[in-house]
Amino acid sequence: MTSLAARLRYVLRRALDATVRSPVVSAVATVTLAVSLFLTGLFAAGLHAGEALLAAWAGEVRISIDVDPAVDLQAARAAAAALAPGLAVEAVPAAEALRRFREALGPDAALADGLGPDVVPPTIELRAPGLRLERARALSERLRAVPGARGVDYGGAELEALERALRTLRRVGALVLAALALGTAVLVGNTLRLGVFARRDELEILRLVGATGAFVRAPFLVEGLAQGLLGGAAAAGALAALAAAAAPRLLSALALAAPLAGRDLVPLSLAVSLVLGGGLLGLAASALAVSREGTRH
Amino acid sequence: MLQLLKVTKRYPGEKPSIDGVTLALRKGEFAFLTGPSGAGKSTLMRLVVAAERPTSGKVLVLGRDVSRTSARQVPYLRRAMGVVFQDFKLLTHRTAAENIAAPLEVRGVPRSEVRRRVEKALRGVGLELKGDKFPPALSGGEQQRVAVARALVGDPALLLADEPTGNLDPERTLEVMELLHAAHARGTTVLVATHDRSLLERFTRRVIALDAGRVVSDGLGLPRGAPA
Repeated sequence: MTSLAARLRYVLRRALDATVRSPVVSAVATVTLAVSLFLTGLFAAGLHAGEALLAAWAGEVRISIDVDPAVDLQAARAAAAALAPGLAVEAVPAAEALRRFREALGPDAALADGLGPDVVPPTIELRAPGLRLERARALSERLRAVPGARGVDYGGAELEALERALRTLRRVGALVLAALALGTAVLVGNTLRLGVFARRDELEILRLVGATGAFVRAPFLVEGLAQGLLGGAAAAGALAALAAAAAPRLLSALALAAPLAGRDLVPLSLAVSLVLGGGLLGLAASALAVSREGTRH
Repeated sequence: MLQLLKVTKRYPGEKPSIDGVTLALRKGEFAFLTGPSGAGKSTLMRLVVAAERPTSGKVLVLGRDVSRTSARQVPYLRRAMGVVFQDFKLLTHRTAAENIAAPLEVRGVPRSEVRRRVEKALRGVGLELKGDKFPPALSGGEQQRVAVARALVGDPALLLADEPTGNLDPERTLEVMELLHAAHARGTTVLVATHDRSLLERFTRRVIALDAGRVVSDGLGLPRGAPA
């Protein structure tokens, strides 16, 4: 066995030994990491679901141009098609527009009685599947040039409100996540420091028999990494369980959330990120806890 | 092997613990370091193992200036030494064999080699049947023998023993002293700090006497009237 393998084996054995000998410290550190990562995951899952919804809704972008009834509808359609190459463009005469309006009103269709082309004008409808919001906005601006166009609507108000909210959430989220990660690292670092303190005699003896700072620190780092990975896995598992339990109710309660699939709530990438992030956080916390051990004589 | 050149160690607001000490220990020599409590014996030992740095002067071990050794190099310097303490300083959750193995493990010695050398060290201190015992299950004398075995397992050039018999009865004291003499007989340089006058009288060796941080005598055997 090489010297490196002997050292590695020693470090792993000591990390396991320390975990077994200090189960309370290990459990507290792991649970703290798991709770922190769960909260982080919950926030990230919410953000991700919002983005998935936005993408789903944006995928159904319909741009509607109200056209002056006096203008040649087919000529307006051709102009719109020229401005939006590749998109499905439909000319909807006033009568058809009114019929669709009645249909949209459903049981209140009677409200549309007596309305004429002045109120429900002929329209040009464009379907833009998968069009991003900013492109839909730009295209709508261009379509104002269609002859006889009175107004262009792409349902942007709701989407923009959602996008604004998500943008704010992303910014706040980045700050919250950074603060949460730092707080967790300090909290877990202090918890692990208790473990280091409890083993100060052992560390002193190891230093006296010639252990390097890295040799002294390594088992603690491995311990922190393992606790972080375990905490991350627990957080991912709890999130997945929560999503499995709550998703059906959420999807049935909110019609707007219908485009969401279960995997949108806790995607695999989020679960993997939580586990790996947990490992990194545990590593950082244990590095913080044993930072002084490398410089002591 | 070991040289102290005008070494002074002063803690803030206190009188010097070590005050201008100059002494040398040749390769293969056996010496006692004695003096009353507070004379500076333990401080001197700590300076030699680089647990402290001198306020002034030089501490040379194997020709290397300990006081100028970087923190990164200190562990490698310590591997050339074995240290035995009055309170044994054993890891209570590790077996006797695991305690003895520690200096080898920190060096990354392969497992089979560790096992072989630990068995030899256990035989050397007469504890071959107690390798799997944890320190609390051993007597004080046995614990100190484990500590001596741990200090010697890495074949150190210099063995430092700080009051190694301070917690032992006379019979166990002799056993431990025999182990230290056996190590000396194999060529190890040995420095034993003790305030046990009976040891100094029983073994006619070089005795360096400290008082108030200064060397007050240095010669074969304990001079009449010297503090101990």
